[in-house]
Amino acid sequence: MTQITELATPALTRGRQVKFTPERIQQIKNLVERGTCREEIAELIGVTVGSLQVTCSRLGISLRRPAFNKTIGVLRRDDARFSRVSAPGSSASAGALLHLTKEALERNSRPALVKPEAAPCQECGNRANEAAAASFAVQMQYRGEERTTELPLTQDMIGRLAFEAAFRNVQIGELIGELIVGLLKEDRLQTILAPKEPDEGKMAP
Amino acid sequence: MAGQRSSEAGAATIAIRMRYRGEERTTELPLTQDMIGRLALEAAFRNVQIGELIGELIVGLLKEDLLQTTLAPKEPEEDKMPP
Repeated sequence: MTQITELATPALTRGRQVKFTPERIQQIKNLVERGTCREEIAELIGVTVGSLQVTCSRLGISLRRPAFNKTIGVLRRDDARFSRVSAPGSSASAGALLHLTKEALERNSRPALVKPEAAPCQECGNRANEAAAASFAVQMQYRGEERTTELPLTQDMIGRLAFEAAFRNVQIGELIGELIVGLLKEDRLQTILAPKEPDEGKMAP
Repeated sequence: MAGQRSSEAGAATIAIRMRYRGEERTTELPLTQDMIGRLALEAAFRNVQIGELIGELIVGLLKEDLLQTTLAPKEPEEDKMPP
């Protein structure tokens, strides 16, 4: 359960150039609050999206953009008691996907509150961190420490996972577990991670 | 020994955390220590974190549309009718 907050400041100064200074981290938080998408933030800060995600994940900073209820046109903080899905700014099918995702999530365990805030940003449309969108992360615990890495899933991918989970009557987390276990049991890691091996080339005669 | 799990000393656990509209849920992945070790090795060889590797795996599966084959590798309905 120990979030690795010590990475927040001085530890990052070791060796390499300091990109995530306390000022930058505050800047990231402000940008997130203003609804800036992660790609833009990464560009502004001068880091890669992956690096931004990893660091924010380690620092416990959510890159999810704040919820914005377009149907009402006002900002509101989410509350766990509100279970309505308003499918912000997307098609009916996307709304259905969100609803499905939510249903699948509801079947999971351990509720906890996080607090989204403020306003929208139009580009970078299909990332999972859209307002009111679901986000997934891998959480690892080892010897009392906990690390979290966000999964780079798009809304479409999450929707597909949600559908698959719904059809199989399992939770999305369970489905992901089955996928990983399946890959490991069949020893297919290599094929998924490097689907088209260039070094399969035959020896020249 | 406070930081260690009581059941398996020094064992690692991997879970999927989902956030949606202010709620957070966590589901532990049913991975054995051997599986986690293999993931760790694979991640180390690729210079990525285990979490990133899992992310790559999920994204790879989805992009190549391999969900079905991974979840149900041997379809029973492929049985041929006896002649």
